[in-house]
Amino acid sequence: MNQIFDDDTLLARWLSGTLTEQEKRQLEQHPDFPDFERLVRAADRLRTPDPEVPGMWNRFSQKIAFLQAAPKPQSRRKLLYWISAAAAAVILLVFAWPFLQPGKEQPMLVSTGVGERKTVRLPDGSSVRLNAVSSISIYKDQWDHQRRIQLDGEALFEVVKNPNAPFLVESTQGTVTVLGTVFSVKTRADEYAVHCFSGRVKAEAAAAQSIILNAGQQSTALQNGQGWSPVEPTKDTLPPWTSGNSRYENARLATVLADLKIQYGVTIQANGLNDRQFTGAYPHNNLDVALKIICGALELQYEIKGKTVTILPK
Amino acid sequence: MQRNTCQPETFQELFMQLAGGLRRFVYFKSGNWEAAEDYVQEAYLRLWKNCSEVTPEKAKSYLYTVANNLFLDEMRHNQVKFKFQEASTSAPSPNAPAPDFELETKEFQQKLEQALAALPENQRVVFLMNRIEKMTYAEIAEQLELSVKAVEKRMHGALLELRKLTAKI
Repeated sequence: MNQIFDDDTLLARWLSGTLTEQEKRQLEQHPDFPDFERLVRAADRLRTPDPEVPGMWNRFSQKIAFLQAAPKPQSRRKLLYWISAAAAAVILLVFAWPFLQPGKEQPMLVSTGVGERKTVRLPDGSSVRLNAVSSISIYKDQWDHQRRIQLDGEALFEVVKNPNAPFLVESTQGTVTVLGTVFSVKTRADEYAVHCFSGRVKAEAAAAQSIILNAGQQSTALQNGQGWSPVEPTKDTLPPWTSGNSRYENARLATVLADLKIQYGVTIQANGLNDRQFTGAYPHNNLDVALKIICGALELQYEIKGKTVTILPK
Repeated sequence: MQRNTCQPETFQELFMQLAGGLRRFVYFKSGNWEAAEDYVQEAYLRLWKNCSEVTPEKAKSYLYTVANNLFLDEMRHNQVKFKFQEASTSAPSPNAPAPDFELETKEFQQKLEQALAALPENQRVVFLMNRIEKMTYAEIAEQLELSVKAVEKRMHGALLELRKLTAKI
């Protein structure tokens, strides 16, 4: 019964419509034929994702623009050019010497103030969005091999893939190495949290084992180098602060108020309330509303005097 | 002077025309959609660097060869895992399927994805180029530098194998 399949192109020719009448009849009467029909029907419904060629082209042009900006290999030129170039270089070197630190390039620094957000475009087309009171230093000297950034504060990274140049986000609390695309890092006084929104990242905290986070996962480094909190799902597609909100789920009030401080530039007194748990969201453009939401949820009262906020039990 | 691919307009046109297909081609081989873009980017980067030696006519086969070699170098050991999007089901079928049938096709779709991942790479690539890219055997043969007969054999083999695999899963 299976002999008809011994013709090793039969099914291929069935699909291209080039079977003889007899072959066709034989195949259609075969008990396995409905299976093949079903397979082809299902296969014909498969679609790859949209390649988004314009986006690919953008990433490509940014890559070559960056390469073109790099010094090009020198071609043979007249001796005269060499001599004048060398002379110019010597003169330049003499004058520039005090500013040059051989082997150690000064990183480029970008920072934000209270309530401010900034987006920084990196040479490879990647981008960094900085939340308030945050700064990054970009080490451009070895960008081709290693894309290194030092972070203080909180930022969202959208990283263009490049298998030859890992993307590192360093901070005093740890390092995140990027294997994927969109992730945020929060490194503040007593909090080190990593959210991965797409792709994969590897996060290392001082004195703790590294963890791998996949898209839609988050983790927070535990205090005193105790490792990482269990990996939890993140419901957002981007961190709420990128759209001017802060959102929490069972967060310590201390964390919530620390974020409130950097958004509004206020001092907050909330004695003995640090361990209260807050779930909810507040906006970054109205301090009164933000405090109403937080205090309303926890049955607290607040008082604003100039730049000082006092929170008390009711 | 020989024509090459260094003119920016020529190069961009080659990118716009071929990058999508090339990405899907690498995806058929690798099963990794994100990584597939990396290979496409790298292939175009090499074309860009060697543009003076490649004519526009040769560009396509150059790109596919480079992407293929890059893939062989790095991706071979990675796990193949497919996740296709289902074709939009919005087009109402002439006789609306019963819910049971819908469920069955969804389940079957998943089986098919797993089976495709388990299929030998050369069969999978031919099968998907034919079914998704809608390329004829002659076009596939030219692309992969094979005879039409060899392509037909892989296609036939792919169907037999897929039937076995989907029955097992």
